[in-house]
Amino acid sequence: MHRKNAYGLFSLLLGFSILLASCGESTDQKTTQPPVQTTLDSAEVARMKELEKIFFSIPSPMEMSSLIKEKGYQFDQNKLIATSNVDKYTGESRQAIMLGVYGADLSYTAIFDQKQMTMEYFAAAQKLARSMGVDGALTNDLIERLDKHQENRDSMLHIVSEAYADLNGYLKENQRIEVSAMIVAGGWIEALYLSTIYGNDGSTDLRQRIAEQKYALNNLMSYLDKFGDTTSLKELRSDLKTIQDAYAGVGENKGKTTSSKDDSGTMVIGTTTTLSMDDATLATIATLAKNIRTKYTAL
Amino acid sequence: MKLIKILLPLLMLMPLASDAQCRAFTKNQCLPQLDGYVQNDNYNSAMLVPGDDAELLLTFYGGKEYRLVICAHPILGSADYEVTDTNGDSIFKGNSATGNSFDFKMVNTQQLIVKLHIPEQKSAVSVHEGCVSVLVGSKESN
Repeated sequence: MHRKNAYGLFSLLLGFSILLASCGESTDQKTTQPPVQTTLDSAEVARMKELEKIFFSIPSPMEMSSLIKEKGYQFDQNKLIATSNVDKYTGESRQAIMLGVYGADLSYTAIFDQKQMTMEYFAAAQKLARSMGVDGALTNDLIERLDKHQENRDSMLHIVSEAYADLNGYLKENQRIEVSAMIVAGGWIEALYLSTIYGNDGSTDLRQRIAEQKYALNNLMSYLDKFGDTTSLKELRSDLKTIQDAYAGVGENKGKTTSSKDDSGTMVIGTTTTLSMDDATLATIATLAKNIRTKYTAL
Repeated sequence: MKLIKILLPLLMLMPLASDAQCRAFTKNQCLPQLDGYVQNDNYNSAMLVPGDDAELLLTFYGGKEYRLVICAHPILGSADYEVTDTNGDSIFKGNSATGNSFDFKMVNTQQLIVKLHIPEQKSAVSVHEGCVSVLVGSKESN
């Protein structure tokens, strides 16, 4: 049964039970009704827990790809998952993770201004979304807009980002928040994999960015914990936990936050906190990223 | 007051039509305020009521420039927000009615917390819920 219908029915029943509980004041009560205030508190707690599942964010894969390009690396299609295999991914969990993987690859092609390939990856993502019953996001009008703005890289980036944010919103709106979590996780795994592939050549900035994923991963794991021990997330959490354990090797030297204003009056925020990662930790993270990525993308 | 206590759980647990409006509100009213920045692909919008608090832990990368937009439906009046570091030290405070965006540059990568509070409306007879969106956009720092 769709979570959306079950949730709506539950809320309707709860609402009516509260209404009935407060109607009339019989002195001859044979059953004990919970006080309205207690029921209100339970409802409030449940509501707050649902809000915590909505207010969650980790950096998008596009930000990782942006650094890869900025550091002068070349585009390499061979590093990506083939779009021709999109129909071969089945099962909601796998499809959700792959939707994230394709989203990360889409961001990569868009960042590198690969117009035709961006269209192909978007079409693949849309196909996957449709097979998952996600009809209200990654729509045809977005494909038309992408096609229309192919010559404008900035517009392409905006459209791609907007598409995935809207997909995230659509899923949350339709009570498929676990699915949205898996998509985010899939995108993060692919972005980490791509950055470790490029980062192997010793680039300091990429290496630093890989170390910084410690924050995003810890946030992601805390988020996944909010869903409890659900079957659909169990395996994914277990796999991500192995990477999280490897990130224990990334040392954090906590410092203080600094803030100042630049000449234009814009606030500039810094920190004296530093992260350190040795070669062995980087190698372990790279291997795990590759293995987990292979596990979910293999046919 | 008793009526509010009865209606509030119903209000809080009936998400469907209002969530759709929240997504439309976010796209039509809030997203344009990120003009010039590339939107983060996470959706952080929800129907909130006066008195609500919400928090969002975000990672911001060094070398980039960001815009944070806090967008609240007018029916709520406004939303107070504060950006702190993970120690709770305040970096910036604002209110969506008087200044709903915060532009900043990051020297190094850091996690920051965005805290939201919807002020209570003391004179209100009934409780209204309204959409609140937190949008994050980025661009390369000059």
